[in-house]
Amino acid sequence: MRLHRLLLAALAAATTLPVTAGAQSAEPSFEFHAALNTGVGRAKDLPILGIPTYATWDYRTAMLQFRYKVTDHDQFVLQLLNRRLGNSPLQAAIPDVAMQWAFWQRRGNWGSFKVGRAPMPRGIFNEIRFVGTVLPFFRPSFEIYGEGRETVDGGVFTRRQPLGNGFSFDFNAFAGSNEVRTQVITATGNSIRAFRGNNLKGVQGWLNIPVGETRVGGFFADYHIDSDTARGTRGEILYSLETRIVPRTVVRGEALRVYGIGPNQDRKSYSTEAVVTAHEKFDISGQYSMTDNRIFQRAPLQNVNVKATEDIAIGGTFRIGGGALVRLEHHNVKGYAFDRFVPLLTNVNNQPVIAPPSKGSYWLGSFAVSF
Amino acid sequence: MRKLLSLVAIALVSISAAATSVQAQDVKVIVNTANPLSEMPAGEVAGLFLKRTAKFPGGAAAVPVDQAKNSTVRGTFARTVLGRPASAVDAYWQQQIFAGGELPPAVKTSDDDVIAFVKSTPGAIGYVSAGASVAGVKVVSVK
Repeated sequence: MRLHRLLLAALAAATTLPVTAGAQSAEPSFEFHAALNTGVGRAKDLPILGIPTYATWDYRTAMLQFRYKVTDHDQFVLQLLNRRLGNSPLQAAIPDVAMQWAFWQRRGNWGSFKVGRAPMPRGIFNEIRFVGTVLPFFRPSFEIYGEGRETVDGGVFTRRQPLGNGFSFDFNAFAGSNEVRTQVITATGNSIRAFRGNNLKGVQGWLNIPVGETRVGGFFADYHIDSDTARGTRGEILYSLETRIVPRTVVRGEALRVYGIGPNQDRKSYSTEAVVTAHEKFDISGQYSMTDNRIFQRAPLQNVNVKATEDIAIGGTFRIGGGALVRLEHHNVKGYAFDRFVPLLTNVNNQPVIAPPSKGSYWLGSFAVSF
Repeated sequence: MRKLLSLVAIALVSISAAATSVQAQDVKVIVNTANPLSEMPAGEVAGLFLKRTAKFPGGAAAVPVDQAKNSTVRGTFARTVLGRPASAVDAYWQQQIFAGGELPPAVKTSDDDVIAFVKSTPGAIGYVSAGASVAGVKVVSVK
């Protein structure tokens, strides 16, 4: 309730705050943008992320964005999203077409404020996670970004603060609620959980360093879950680093911890990647991601940490012009998070122990365009 | 295998060299005659064109205006002033648009259109080819 009052106060404040001194604008009032990221994938041995052991072409994200500039300082933005995830069990929890964003934004000297359903500032890729033309692979690391937590139903405040000598600090704060979807792996099988995170509040800060366009980020959020399958709290901490200090190369690293109760959860994920621009039209990318999951057990059994997923990826991107590109990537995956059930436990001397990880791999070719 | 890797390495080095050997061509950065500035650091010009800042160093609101996407002058401006290839600038704007951030500056399709816009708009900043006639606007020296 207090949160709602705070949001209302922020909204009221935003509507009365002064805006930047007017400048004659050369930009149109109505803008339309679109992005398509469509792929064909084939897995070897085990299906994963919706990619079966035979080829699927039913793999896509498409977006239509509409912006209406009400004044030089106010705009209204709608974005529709279509997603197809091949044979993924998650498809059942995702509508074919969703209203991904619907927000009103006011900008001024003080920063900007979005209200409605707005992108959640979280890590390097969250706000652009479906835009194939700016990603090194078809999707950002699944270990870090997963499913859901793309948007905030509520308000997002953003401000850039120059610190001098080329340094600056970007501050984002948000509150409201969000969607979370997960594919839960247990000893008996896989299941999909889709729920809302309520009483969400969080911050994302970025320190921008004028050397190699380097930025260092920290994200924190917590929310309550109140669904049939889970009831409790979740907290998330995400650290991010992105730098172009090496010529023609972008290096990124992210570390995430998700923890909470109801049921107990403690998951640590890491991802690191490098993208080398070999030519203005051609990039080579490599990525390593992994998730370490703590399995909570009843006494006298002790909790155990399991490397739930590990993904080593390599890819090449060729820009064909007109805002379009083609990409080919290969992933070697190890762990327990496949679309088909793989054993998590096995018996040794009549004692249940963690089974060795299963292995799989997949190819994904994709075409992306945005304007 | 080693021979194949050497060939790939040579090919990559060759295409990188080809990409960087493009002759840099000068561009002129122009502002309205009412603008008191006569020189600006490249970083500040880049800040305005990438909309990281909305104001000139003196505090006046800026209205950047860009050139057509595939024009030579835009490619040269991207490399020499913004410090990155035109494709990286395009990717930057796609990132901004789909993150719900800023929209790219308005586009004028010729040097003459840019000059006419800058002439009639007090806060405007644009760029034109080195050979363009810039009567009625002010050329800013970019350091």
